[in-house]
Amino acid sequence: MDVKIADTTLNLSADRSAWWPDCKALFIADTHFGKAAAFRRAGLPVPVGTTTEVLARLSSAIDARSAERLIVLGDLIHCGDRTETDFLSELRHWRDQHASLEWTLVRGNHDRGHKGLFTELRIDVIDEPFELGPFELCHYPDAAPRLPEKYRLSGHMHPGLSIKELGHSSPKLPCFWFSSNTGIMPAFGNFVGHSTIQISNDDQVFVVADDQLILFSER
Amino acid sequence: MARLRRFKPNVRVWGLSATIGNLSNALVTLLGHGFDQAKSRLIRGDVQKEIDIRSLLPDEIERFPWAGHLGDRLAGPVSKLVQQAATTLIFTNTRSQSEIWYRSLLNHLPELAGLMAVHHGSLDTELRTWIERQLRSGKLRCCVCTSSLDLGVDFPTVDQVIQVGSPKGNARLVQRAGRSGHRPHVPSRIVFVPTHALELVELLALRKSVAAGQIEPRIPLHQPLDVLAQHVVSMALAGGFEPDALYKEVTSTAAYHELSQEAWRWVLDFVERGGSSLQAYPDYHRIHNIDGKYQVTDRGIARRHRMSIGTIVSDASVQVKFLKGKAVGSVEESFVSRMEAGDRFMLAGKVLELVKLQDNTAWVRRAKGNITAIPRWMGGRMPLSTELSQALREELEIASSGKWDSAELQAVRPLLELQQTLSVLPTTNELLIERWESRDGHHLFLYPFEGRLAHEGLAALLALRFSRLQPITFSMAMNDYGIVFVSENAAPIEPAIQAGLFSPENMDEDIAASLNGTEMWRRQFRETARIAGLLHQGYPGERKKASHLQASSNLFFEVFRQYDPSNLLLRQAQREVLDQQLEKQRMILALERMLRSRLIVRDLPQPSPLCFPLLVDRLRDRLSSETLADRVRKLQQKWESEADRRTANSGR
Repeated sequence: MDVKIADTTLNLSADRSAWWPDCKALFIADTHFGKAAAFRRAGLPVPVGTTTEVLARLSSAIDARSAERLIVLGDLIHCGDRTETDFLSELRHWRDQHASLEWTLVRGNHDRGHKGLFTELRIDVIDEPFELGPFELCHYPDAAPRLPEKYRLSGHMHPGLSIKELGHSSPKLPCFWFSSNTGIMPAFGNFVGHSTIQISNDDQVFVVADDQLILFSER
Repeated sequence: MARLRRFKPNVRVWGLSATIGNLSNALVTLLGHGFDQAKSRLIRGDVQKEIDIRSLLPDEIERFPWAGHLGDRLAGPVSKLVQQAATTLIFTNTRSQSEIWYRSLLNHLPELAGLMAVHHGSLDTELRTWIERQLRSGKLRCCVCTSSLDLGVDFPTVDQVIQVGSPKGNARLVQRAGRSGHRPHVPSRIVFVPTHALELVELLALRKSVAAGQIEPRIPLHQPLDVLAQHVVSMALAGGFEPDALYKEVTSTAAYHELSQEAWRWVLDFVERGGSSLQAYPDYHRIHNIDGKYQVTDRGIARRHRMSIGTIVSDASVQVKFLKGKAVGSVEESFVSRMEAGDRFMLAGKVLELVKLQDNTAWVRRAKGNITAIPRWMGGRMPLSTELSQALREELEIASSGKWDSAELQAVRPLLELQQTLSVLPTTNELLIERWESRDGHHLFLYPFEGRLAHEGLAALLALRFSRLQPITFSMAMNDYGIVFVSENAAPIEPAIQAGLFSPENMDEDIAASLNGTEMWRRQFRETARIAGLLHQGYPGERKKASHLQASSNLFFEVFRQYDPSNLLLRQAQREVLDQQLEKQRMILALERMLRSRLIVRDLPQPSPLCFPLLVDRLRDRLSSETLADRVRKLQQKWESEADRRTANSGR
């Protein structure tokens, strides 16, 4: 599904990624790799498989668009804990399979202290704001100051909406949220929560419902 | 108890209860499976406790009832009753209601300021203890409370008990009435205040079934694995355990005596490895087997576990404190997160202004003036009990035969007669279905009178069966009396019944299928997850939560469903929804009864008194409480005048 912002077009997909053809770049945000592992180490039982699913989804998003560049809008890694665990080897293996991919990370609040890992994975880490074409790429949607004349694309918030069904509210569904000057990406990770958003009139919201995108808009 | 018995096999155990219908069940629960009959005794007092149940009849009856504001209108007469008694306890069914009633009584009785209190489970413990002390020493004239004062408290000075809204079950009514005249040979008195007119019929049903000595059973839980998982970790913390010995101890209880080795193994694996041994949970350990003894070695895990022992689950709550530091109580996070600084709400009967939300605390100051919102707490809204719903159907049958033989029936007579004019008052062997079309769509009302929870299950089941006959989407609402299905196109009810809508065939499969992935399952799993120790809640007084370990039960629900679908906690939550929440047995009996009943289908010219509250429930989802009250008032006026016109026409 296309969304026209900042005089350009992003192609949104139900896999929670946004494709920007002008730059052959794929945007994602908030993968939170290693969160399940951190839970397990703390004695909270989360089954394995979450990392595998996220990486597989990312691979097919990249393959489908023949993306040359991957830009992550923060919170790539969940925890500052550098214990060697399964998800790290999965990440390394994934990087080997996508060796030619140019990989950029706009640093998020969870991404501190992984310098060695990022070098090893050949990830370009940039502090916000990262200017790219008409965009100002950030982790925080409300980071100050704003660059003039730029459209901000960000993550961090994990926007979500619940839909009423059978008299009950559904669990929150991830969504893309575009206002006049800021767009917020859904969290790409799968073991993450979503926070309910308050939409105003001019906003466009694309809700991810299984393998479909549904547009909510007053316009 | 099983543990105590292991330490001291001949320990003597006493159990006391006034309001359990299934005492032999209670006995085995208390003494364990296979206890020595010869050594146990059931003692019943032969004091006939007299219970006098009166009702406060409103002057005027709304023929289109809804549980919105009638209570408020009765605050005047209730305040007169309060003035006449030395000490009055007023029971309400929800915490919000107790706050509302406290305020409106204080408006009527300003001279009782300082002599009146509100008491419920979300108030600060210190405050509650103080109120209880005041009550005991007779220093309070009136206390508005919830089930927080149902049990375990004895206030000799209380000489009047008032119940606002239907207590929904006999046991609860008896329990509450017993707060007055708390001595042998003194009758217990309770005054019932209806919150809508149909509750007067519920009261009649209550009075008869209490007089007949019917008390609801309390069914003990069967093999709750979440509780077992928690207990196992607790035992590992309490000096460690040997698995065989603990298995023996656990299976000596009534709840777990059928626990299979397999399920026991799964629970051990769950806390030791995360899941069954085939399932990978690397790095996960809550307990360790050290030389044959399971123990907790990680201090962080030990501390988190100690903080979350218990099985009473409440939603994420936010402390409410005055800026100077004194605690008032707590409200739910979802409530306070919608508020802004300067908004006013009510708690502990006080008007409070939100100053800021910080460190999981809502800082407030005293304020005056109108409030923005009244907190609501998620809590068990009790459904109409089986005993009571049977009695209620009988009451309606009496009314349908034209015997208005009590003051209460006389009072609701205008409503019931209008129901007869516009539709039918069903007898006990009839099933009434009403149809009505409006701008919103085609409405189909069904009245099994089985209580809200069983109706929730029935609604899901019937919607599933409908959709198999033809593609159709419903929105639904339910109350204690019935269910409404709303669809864009008319639902073909008669052909559906012909085709087996109520059929007992494949019932189990269909009920399970209709439950799949639904909100009900998730809701129940939230409790399971909390008890089994999946959710880390943070520590009390902790300034900042360990946010990297926060995950909602919904997230666990999803990852288990996807990556460990055989997880027994998922199954347990599902089973508990079926058995306790949806009252599956009750659903099945209801379907059998519906199948046997004579079907009456009526196309309504306008909404009937029975269906009106269901229409309001549908509005409730969409509107704020103020707009709702306004809308309902307008609808009431409209349908009242339509009904008048219709009766006048038919009289001519």
